[in-house]
Amino acid sequence: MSYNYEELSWSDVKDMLRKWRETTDRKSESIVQLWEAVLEEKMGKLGNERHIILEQVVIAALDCGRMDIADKCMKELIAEFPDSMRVHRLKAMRFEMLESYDKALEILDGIIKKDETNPSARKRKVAILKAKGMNLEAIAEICDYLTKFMSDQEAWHELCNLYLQEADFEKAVFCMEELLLHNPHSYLLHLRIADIRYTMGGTENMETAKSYYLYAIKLNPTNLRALYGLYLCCLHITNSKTVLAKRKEAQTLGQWALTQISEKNSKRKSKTSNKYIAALDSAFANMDIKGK
Amino acid sequence: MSEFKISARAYSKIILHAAKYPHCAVNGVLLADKESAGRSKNVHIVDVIPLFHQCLYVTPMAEIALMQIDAMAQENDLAIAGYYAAPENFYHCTIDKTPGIRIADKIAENCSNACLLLVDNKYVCANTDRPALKAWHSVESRWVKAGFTLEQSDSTLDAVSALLQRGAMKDVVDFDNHLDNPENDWTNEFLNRDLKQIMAMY
Repeated sequence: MSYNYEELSWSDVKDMLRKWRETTDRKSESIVQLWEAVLEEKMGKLGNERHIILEQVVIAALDCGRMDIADKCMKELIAEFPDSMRVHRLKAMRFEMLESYDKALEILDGIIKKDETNPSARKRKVAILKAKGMNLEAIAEICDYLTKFMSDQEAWHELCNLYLQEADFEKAVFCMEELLLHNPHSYLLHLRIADIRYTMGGTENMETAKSYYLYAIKLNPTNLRALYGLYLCCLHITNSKTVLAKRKEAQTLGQWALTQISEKNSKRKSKTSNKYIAALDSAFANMDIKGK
Repeated sequence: MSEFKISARAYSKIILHAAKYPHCAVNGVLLADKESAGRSKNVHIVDVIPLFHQCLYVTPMAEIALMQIDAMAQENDLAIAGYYAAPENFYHCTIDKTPGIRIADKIAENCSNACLLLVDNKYVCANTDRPALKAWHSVESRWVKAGFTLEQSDSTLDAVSALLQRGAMKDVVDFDNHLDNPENDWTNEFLNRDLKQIMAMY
């Protein structure tokens, strides 16, 4: 994204950065650009947000490989907080960027030794394993982490992603179900569980996936992914060898899902999709349900 | 060795898609013109459809996307001819680390001499003199190294490098974006038109 820098005042930029911090958006490139163009000169005016913005910029700069900016901001932080664990972690991240993983690990282990309840240092260790491509070791490390910090939702999410990469769907579902206990009304979690169940295949999983999709639609009726998922489950059930009544029910439900999808698309003036959705419709139309 | 011909449009869309989500794995489908698809050599990859960046390891939305892309391809005298992916890890560029390789296998079942392109992250940068891709093709349900040529290689690389510097990756729309908001057009009609104009300048 390119901004018209002249029109942005430094307080606008400050608010923007705050918003990104709160929503944990990964907008490293924009942060670095805005820092260089607007904020750097106004550092004195930032008041009590100064340190947290410096930290944000350091991380963004490391993400973009802008060593010059990262070093400059880090110097400020080190001068003021020479013993802070948070600054130590930034130092470790700097080594991570340079791929000196051993040095980074040394710092992180130092932090953990001093403060056993420091979650971010432990998470960085997982990130290092991931960067080295050692997924199985990363899984072991997160599992160990989760025995100590059981309610860390972000960690459960990451574990789920790692299991999916290793195609261990059973365990991935377990992680998602754990998250569902924290957040029973999040449609995204229902959706992901349904997606994984569908991927696993088989009659029973298909039925489970269908119920999760239905629940996701109930929680967020405008959500296209769930409607498409429901359509696919219904297509499978209609095609399967279950009792006639169930197959008929699935067909009606699938048709309903397709109508919903078309409606959503025309309401939002989607240009392309409706004509290609007809392709999905014909998959149903070619099916003739007969009793045996 | 099988040779693929990759159009400037296809190449730039693959690289822009990978650059739009630098911290994620991304994938997509390759489209060839109908005449050359399935031939044992000189398959002409004319376009690509960017698919996902959020989760490449579950299948439902991929099935939906492939059904719609198939319909779109038939309408435009194209055919699905392969799969591309950019791995999440900077250094991974091998078949066994390819995200969503099962999708590629499935495409290969339905299309002889399917093409698999992997983005080599190390070469995705401005001012590079070689395409940041590696190619494989399917031979009896195995993936074997293949060669490829990029159309107007020099000018395409220059154009892509300029596009990356201008931040043009924000304009690529993948199927995930479309599912988030149906207004987003996964056929990338606008981008295709812009690319055509830009390529003409180089």
